[in-house]
Amino acid sequence: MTSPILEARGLVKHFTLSAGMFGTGATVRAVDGVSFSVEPGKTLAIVGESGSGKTTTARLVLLLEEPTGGSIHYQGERVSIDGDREVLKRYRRSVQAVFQDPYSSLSPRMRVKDIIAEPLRIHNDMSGSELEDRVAELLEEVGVSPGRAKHYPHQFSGGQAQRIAIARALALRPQLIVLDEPVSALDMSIRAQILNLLVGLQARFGLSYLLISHDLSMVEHMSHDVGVMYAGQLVEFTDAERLYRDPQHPYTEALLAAVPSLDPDVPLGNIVGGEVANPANLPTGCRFHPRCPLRTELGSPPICETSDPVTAKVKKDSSRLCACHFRGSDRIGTDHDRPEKSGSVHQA
Amino acid sequence: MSDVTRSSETLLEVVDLRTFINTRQGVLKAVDGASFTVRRGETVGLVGESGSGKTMTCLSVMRLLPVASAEIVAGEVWFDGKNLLEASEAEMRRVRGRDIALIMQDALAALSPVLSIGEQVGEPLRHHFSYSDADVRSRVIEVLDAVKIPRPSERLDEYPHQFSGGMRQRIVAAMGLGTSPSLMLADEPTTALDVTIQAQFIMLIREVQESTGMSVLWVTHDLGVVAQTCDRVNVMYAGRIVESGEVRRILKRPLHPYTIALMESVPSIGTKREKLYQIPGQAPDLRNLGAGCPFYARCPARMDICENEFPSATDDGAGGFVHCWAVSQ
Repeated sequence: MTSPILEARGLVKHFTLSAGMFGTGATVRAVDGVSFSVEPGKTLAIVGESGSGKTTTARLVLLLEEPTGGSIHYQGERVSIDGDREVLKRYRRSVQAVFQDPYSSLSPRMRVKDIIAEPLRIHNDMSGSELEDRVAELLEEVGVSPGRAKHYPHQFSGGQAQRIAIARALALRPQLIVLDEPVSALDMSIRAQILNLLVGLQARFGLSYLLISHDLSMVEHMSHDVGVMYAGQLVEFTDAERLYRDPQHPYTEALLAAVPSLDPDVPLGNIVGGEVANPANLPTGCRFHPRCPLRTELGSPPICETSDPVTAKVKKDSSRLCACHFRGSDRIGTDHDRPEKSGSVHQA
Repeated sequence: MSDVTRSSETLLEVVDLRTFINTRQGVLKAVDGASFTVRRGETVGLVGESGSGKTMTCLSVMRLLPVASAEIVAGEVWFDGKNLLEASEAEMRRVRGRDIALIMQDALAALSPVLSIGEQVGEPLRHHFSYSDADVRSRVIEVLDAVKIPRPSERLDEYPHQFSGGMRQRIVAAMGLGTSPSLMLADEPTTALDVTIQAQFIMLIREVQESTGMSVLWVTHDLGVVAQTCDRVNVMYAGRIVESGEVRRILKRPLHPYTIALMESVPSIGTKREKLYQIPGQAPDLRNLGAGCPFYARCPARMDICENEFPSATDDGAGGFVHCWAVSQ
């Protein structure tokens, strides 16, 4: 097995709500112990609903937020905001990002050629005709006519503007691109253009992607590995093929069941009730337990309320994880390892 | 427009609706001859991308055009036997919010932050019916309960910010449902919601329809939502309905090249494709539409005739139609 290009180890990000006039001073556990690795040339997707912590995870990876705990390792080397400056500089060049809305991620006051040239000027000291040629080359790479380099972002359609954002991300020949909902703001007929472009660029340049999305159909199309986040934790992590064929965690099952099929004869699956847990006031034990259909089916075993399966099931091999007391091949040891817990399963 | 189509079964019939917007750069044909019907108890989809005219169609039916420069220049909107485009403003006020409810995508924008949800859900009841305060309150509790707001009798005094996004959208639905409307215009009601919350909302509307027989015009860009909600579908492109028919026929045997392309460009779970079909180019400028088919420039099946002449409807043999020269010839 090749070594991962990026590793997140036990990432934690807590925010404290201000205790002002209306504030409560509560702690929001946005990301709470997330570990994953991105393999070279592959796409790892983090899926989850709003409030699951997926965007905060992306921001931690991009070193836009300082983690409360845990660490990020790039090609085996630890990177952090206040770490070694040379390492940090290399990291900033090698890891780029494309965000959801190109009109807000591209400066409205800059011409497209300057937007794409900026990283080249700063990091590569490029100028003159060399710079111009590289900008033109990048625009061609993403399918925008270099003749339009003098225009401003608002003069482009959403799909074209997102291509420009991708060109900027490619400028420094990065190895990893964080894609945060890269097509959610685009029209249906434009999405396929951008997704195909991203797949093509990955194959050409051997890029790795960390894809953040709520769109499970798109994720299946794009990804090699998938992590499912719920209330700040990864509850399932496996290869995409296996996740969609044989989801293990009840939350993953619920998510997949809720995706409306294009076939009118395939009705919506079992619909899970309730809403995503409030990260400032999390349920005890398994964070999904108040909504979990499997728990109901099993007659509400107490372990779901008392023991957090994410902490209980930490294991050495991170290639497959299912944070459920009752699902997945990686159950906590065997029954004799935890007699009191396995006994409690059938009590309720 | 025959008496057959305007039978008692038909609740809403839109005939050749044209809504134009005057802009500095010329006339923008937002809706350019849209015709469709909604029968009693039925859910009909209006599918299209942004700028295809689906929201303007809804707003034209309600006669709530957003800007002074927008104008319904032609067409008929028959609702319950009456042409709403000829109704007086006073008559329209009786229809809006009582017989036809409109719910929009952004629940937070549809709710006032300074009024309790009880007041907001009760407003149409006070406006349209001479209910006593006690009657309004009990009906509000009933409706909030129907949209599954927990402990409605306590929570009706709370304000929108105290509810989650999914609950807010259900409160917006409750505002529409209180008067037992016969038609709901639902404009992308689940687009801002997470999938599990979207699924809850779809089931909720379905339950309401089963108990009240309400019709729904469901506006969306999501073909999956269409498959799970609609009986019939109208596909809009550049202000025109290019294909219409029964949901199974449209999704399993699409005829219009645009519908076919959309189906093939959308990733769908369990049907892994090497490459998604990509529709080339982008939507046309609605200020500069020629006489031909608006999809011409992007169409893989285009012929010479398509550029200059919009095709008339071809029967799909199952009660629907398609406007396409490649199909009709």
